[in-house]
Amino acid sequence: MPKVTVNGTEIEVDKGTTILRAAAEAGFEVPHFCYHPALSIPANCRMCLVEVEGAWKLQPACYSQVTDGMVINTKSERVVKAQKAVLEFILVNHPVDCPICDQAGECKLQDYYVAYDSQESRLRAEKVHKVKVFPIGPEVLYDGERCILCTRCVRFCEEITATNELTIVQRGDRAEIRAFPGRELDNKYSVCTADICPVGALTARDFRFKCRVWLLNSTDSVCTGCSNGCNIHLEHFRNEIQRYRPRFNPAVNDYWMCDAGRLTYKEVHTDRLLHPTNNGAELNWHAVCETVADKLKRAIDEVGSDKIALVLSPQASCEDLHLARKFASDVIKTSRFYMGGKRDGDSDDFLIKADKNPNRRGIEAVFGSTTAALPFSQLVDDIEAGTVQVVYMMDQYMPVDAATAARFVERLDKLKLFVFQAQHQGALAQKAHIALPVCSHAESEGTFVNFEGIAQGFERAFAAHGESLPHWQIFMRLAQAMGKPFSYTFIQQIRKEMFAPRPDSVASGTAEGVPVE
Amino acid sequence: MALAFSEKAEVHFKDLVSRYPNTLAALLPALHLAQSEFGWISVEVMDYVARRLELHPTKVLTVATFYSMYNMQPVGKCHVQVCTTLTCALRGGYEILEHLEEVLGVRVGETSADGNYTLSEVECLASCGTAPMFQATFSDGEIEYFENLSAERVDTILADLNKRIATLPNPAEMH
Ligand code: SF4
Ligand code: SF4
Ligand code: FES
Ligand code: FES
Repeated sequence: MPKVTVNGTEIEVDKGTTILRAAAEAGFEVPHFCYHPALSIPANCRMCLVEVEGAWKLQPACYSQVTDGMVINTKSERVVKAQKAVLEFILVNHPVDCPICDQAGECKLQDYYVAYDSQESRLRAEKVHKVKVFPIGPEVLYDGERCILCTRCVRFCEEITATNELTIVQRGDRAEIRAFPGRELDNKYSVCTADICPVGALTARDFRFKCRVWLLNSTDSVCTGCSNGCNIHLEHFRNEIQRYRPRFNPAVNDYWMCDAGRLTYKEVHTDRLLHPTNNGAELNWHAVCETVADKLKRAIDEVGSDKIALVLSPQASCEDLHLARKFASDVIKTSRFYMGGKRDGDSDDFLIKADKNPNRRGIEAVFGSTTAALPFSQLVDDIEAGTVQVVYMMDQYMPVDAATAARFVERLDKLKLFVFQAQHQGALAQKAHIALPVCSHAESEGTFVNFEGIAQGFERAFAAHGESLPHWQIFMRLAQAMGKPFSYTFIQQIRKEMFAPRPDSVASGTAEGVPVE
Repeated sequence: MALAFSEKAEVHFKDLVSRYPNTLAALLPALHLAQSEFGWISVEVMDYVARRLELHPTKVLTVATFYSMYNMQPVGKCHVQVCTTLTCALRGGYEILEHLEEVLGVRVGETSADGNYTLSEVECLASCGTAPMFQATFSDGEIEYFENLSAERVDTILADLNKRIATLPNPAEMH
């Protein structure tokens, strides 16, 4: 393995390591714009120039590989001069409109200017003007004046999505990023270009001007848009999610996530069920639990436990499902489960999975089998036949076609008791005898198991909306009200019990070390 | 109407593609061929060339817009390109340019109202020994140098050119 010295620190690195990586391992940042670890290396921005002893010219650290005995200096006088020169060159025609730029606060140009340049502009001529707020795609806007032509976005479309929408047109100080005339930057992952654009040239239509980035709090979470379970930074301000950003996890989503998944946060803030109700009248949790307990007990006596059905939700966490299972078996004493959740949707061969539920494998893990729950369509028939007279339903999703769903809603009138425990209002909440508000994944912590069996934890970002509670806490309260309390104090106790770690699951979160983005 | 090379151009196209290791490498000559065939490089032409070379259209776009010798707008039947680099400049290139502006009634970069002439200012065309000079590109793809120019010579040349281009197609109408 080659031994190299970076700014006097000697380290050993793998053969083929670039200078930039080696320097990072030795603890030195080499500033860079065009280099991105998941893309090819064009070495076009020249921000990463470093001095290599014995080499006459400064070397691009992003591209050059180390050799044994290499002595690298990332801070020498020549390097500092080159960094200033490169930044001055990039800024020649840059409008420096940071105060009205949505990237301010997470802009590499801004950060590097402060760290490596900090000199006044010497330009006295008028700057070249280019397009502003150009609709380059349905989800992304382009600002030609802020673009530093690093081609990260171009390479993303060539190498990651292979959709090739973008390129550079013109040359010199007229060069800009464009799609072919009449076409757009329109692919299922297009907003990733705004993530990797080091400056404010590409911004996401949904997020821009919603919130200054330095006001955001970031919580490690998992996208609930499909069973891929992309790792995300859930970024929020005043109890409201402002955006999702992909969180690096080489085992799941690398640096990326899909556009549709990115927008699923809107569900968290749409039509929420906020208070427990009994036949439409608001009650507090204590009173509603007593009522549910009462009604369930009566139902058990009248129709028998096995006519009571529990609809499981693959949208709920493993912790939720574990207590759902326990509540059914220990308290109600039924094993009549049906499968809820969202219907299948589109998929591709990259990240997007047809199963739009984040935790189907979690049901499998908690219940130990895939056949624990009967199909939802069966439930409609069973209500019709009278074999089910009480339904306890988690979440409002029905994995059936519209006609069957309508039939289900209609059949609800036949039930002795319909308890609906979900995040959202709607037809089901209206039909429910009892409606119990559940909080979203942003308001609780838990575990999802993705389609590959990888168990991933997500953190609580902010306080629950209204009086909503996580499913598992509601089951705790109900068990207590029914006189058979569960003995958990912390969610960790549930976690320990819910399923033995599977051999094919790996720990969540990022790989070793912080990635250089 | 869908674009297509004429029989003659098709032969030329196949030949030049066969001379390069991959189709990307054949892009520059293919665009030149398309320009003489279709008059100018419209969006339609870029799409056609991309299809013929099995390249993504953005690859054609980036190359076509990078080089100034691909006309992204229709030019006149005769494209007059006057050199004003050092040797020509010293030998009166700018006077030639100004004279042409006057007699053609256009400014540099413009096309005359009758669609006959487009006037451009260009860099050295490697004819410094016979400076000042201009190059004329005709809409039938022919290229010719006119050298050792003076205002008077330009007038005679233009009289000849007027006759010569009378039968040429107007690039704007070539596809
Ligand atoms: S838009 Fe952004 S990512 Fe694309 S070339 Fe410009 S600066 Fe780079
Ligand atoms: S692929 Fe699935 S998990 Fe990943 S961002 Fe899209 S919807 Fe979310
Ligand atoms: S040249 Fe190395 S990061 Fe751009
Ligand atoms: S300077 Fe005009 S041809 Fe060389």
